[in-house]
Amino acid sequence: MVENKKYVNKYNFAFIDEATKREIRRKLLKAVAIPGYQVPYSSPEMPISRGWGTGGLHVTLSVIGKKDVFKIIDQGSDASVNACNLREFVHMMTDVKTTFDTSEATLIQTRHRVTEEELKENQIYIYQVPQPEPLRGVERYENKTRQMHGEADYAKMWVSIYESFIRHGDIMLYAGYPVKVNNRYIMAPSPIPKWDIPNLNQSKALHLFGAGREKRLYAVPPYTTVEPLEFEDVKFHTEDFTGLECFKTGYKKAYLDELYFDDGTRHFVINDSNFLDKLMEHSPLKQHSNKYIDKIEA
Amino acid sequence: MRREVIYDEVFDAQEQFRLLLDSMARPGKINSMPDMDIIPPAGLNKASAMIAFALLNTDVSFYAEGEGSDAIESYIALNTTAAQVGVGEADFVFINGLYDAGIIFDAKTGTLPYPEESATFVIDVDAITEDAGDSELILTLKGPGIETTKQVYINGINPGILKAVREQNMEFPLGVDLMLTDKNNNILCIPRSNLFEIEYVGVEV
Repeated sequence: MVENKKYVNKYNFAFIDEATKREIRRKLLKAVAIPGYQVPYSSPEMPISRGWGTGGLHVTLSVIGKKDVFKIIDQGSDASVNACNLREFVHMMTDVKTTFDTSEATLIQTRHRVTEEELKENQIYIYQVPQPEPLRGVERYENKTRQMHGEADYAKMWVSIYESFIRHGDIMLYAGYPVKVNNRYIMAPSPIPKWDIPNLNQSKALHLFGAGREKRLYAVPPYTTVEPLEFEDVKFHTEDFTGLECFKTGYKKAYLDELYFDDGTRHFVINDSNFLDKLMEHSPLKQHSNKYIDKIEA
Repeated sequence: MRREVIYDEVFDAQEQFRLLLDSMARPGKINSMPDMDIIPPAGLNKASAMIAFALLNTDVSFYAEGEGSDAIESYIALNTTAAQVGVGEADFVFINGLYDAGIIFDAKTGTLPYPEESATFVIDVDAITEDAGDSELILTLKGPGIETTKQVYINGINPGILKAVREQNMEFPLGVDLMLTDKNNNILCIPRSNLFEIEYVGVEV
């Protein structure tokens, strides 16, 4: 009897069917060729709801191969519920090696953080994006925002930032601070904190963004200029942790989480779990370097 | 016409796509496609056939022009089920590096709201190398994906093609993207975001 090899698995490798993978792959190539531009794609059904990381999963499952080492974080942590479930799913569907170690991974999927550890050339960094359109706050219609991007007409965006400064004395934008990519497209860098935004600039790794619910893919190639929107006299700044330190390590140069203990006392801890582990184990570690972080003393 | 049964549409396509993605993200980086036992018709590099197998399917269209293009078109159509259309509608255009440059201006470049609806050119050349040797053409690349500048050396390409591409990509984000392949399965991608300069046997083009 002829042995059936084709249908021994219940699912295709990496879950998504090959026709859809090819579509996503073609669009990723176009996204890389036009840095910061949002390419519409099919966003097929996944076993999780749209808006729970399907965009990131589509990208991961379309690029992943048997030799990859996969890491996924949710708000900096390898142990958050979203990360654990998606890690298990990707592992079940592909059987690739998974890791917590940032430097070991070749594919890193993330929800809302860039790792504190510097990324390398052989790594692809994949974001789960809830709202890919940076102009949505100033223009509600998609056909209009498309036209604005096409003509690089960002006047409304600049006015909104100016108004924010006039009303409140600061640019009141936090996670997902709009950036200009390659001096052309304004892009929403998924809701990563302002702390992480300078790390996208001239990064060594390729950054891919997937917004499943909104059906958009976009990319920032390595060594690409990514500048936060700022004025000559009103500058972009990262989150200010002056006077605070991680209660476990005493480290001051990382993005911190606020914790309340049962006795009501307030503590701060490094948000990136793998970075915290490595600091505590005194493992060799190379942090991102940019002009905002470099000013802070460790 | 040969049906390439050994091509694994899951794992071969994934591996080759990753090389293409790496090349597209880092213009000027020369990647080598694996050497597979496929036999494309004369006038089509193995690596170009692999690009077609990795990216094309029934959802997209393609066009081939030049010597032997009939055989190339039926080979790609048979193995990928992509639609054969005219050059003005094609998502992928396969040409030889020594072909006439005019075809670059006939391919679609997208629209301002949808610049990705544009053609990708797969161009067959003789050799792509990192060291000068006796190369005819020096390409100096600069732009996203490259830290400073990057030089590559190409044999068997009509400099007019690259000149036409540069002209066509002037109005970024409109434009076309290039994938160059050579006889030794090397690939080189030039996305439209790239600014490049050409020097042809000592002459600035």
